[in-house]
Amino acid sequence: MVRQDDASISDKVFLLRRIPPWADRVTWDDGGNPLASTMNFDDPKQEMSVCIEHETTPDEVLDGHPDFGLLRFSTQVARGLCGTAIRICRDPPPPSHVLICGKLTRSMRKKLRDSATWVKFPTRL
Amino acid sequence: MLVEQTAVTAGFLILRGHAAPWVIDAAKKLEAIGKLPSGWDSYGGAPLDLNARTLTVNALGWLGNENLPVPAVVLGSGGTVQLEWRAGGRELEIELEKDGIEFLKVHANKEMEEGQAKTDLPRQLQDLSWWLLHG
Repeated sequence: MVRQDDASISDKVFLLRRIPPWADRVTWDDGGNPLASTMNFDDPKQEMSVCIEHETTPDEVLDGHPDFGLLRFSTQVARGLCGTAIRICRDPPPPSHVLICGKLTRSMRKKLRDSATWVKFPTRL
Repeated sequence: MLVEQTAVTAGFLILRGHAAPWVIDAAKKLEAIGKLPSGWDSYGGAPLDLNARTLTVNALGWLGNENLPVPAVVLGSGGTVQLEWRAGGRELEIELEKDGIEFLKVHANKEMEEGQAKTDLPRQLQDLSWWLLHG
C-alpha cells in the first residue's frame, strides 16, 4: 500500500531523529562541534523514522539509547526541499512516530542535514 | 608511519611501504564498523555488507597513493559504506554499494553534483580524489 502524505502534519511541526555516536555517523570539528553525516538521513526502505517534537520529549525518543544524539528539523523544510519525492505520514506506535517515505537524493539529504539543529549532542566516543 | 601497499586480494588490504597513512586509519575504521550488530543505529540498521566491505577495501587500495585526508568511514543503515572527505572548501561523499559507487561533490561555491559509476571504478575514484584535492 502506498502511503499518503498526511496534511494534518503541518509545516509548523518539527521532527526529531536519533543520531548514533558510532560508525562515523558524527564527526567533530576542531572546536568540539559535532557534524552529522548525511547518511543519517538515508533509509534503505525509503521510510525514514522520526518523531513529532511537540508530541514527545527528547528523553522519550532517546530512551534506551543514552549515547545517541538528537537532531530536529522542520516539516516545512523537508517538504520544501524534497517536494513530491516524499510523503510524511503517521506510523504509531508511539503516537508521535512518523515516517518520511520516498527516495531522498544525496543533495536532498545534505540540505536536510544542513537545516537540522542539535537538541542533544551524541556522546563523543 | 609509511607503508607500501602491495596487493588487494579477496577483500584483504595488504600494506607494506609507501601507502598514505590515511589508508591505515580508514582501514581501522572499516574494521570497527564491521563489528557492529544488526540494529546498531536504533532503526534496524543492517551490519556491514560483505560486498560493500570488499569494495571499500578495494577503493582504499586504488586510492592508496593519493595524499588525501583521513575520511569518515560511515556505515549506512543498509550495510553500505560511505567515505566522506572535506578539503579546500570542497566536500566529497562516495557511497560504496554492492555493484558500484554513487557520489556527491559539493563545490566550494556550495553547488552540488551527484553521480554514479559501475565500471572503471579505479579511474573514477582517482578522478574524484583529484577533484577533491585540486578542484
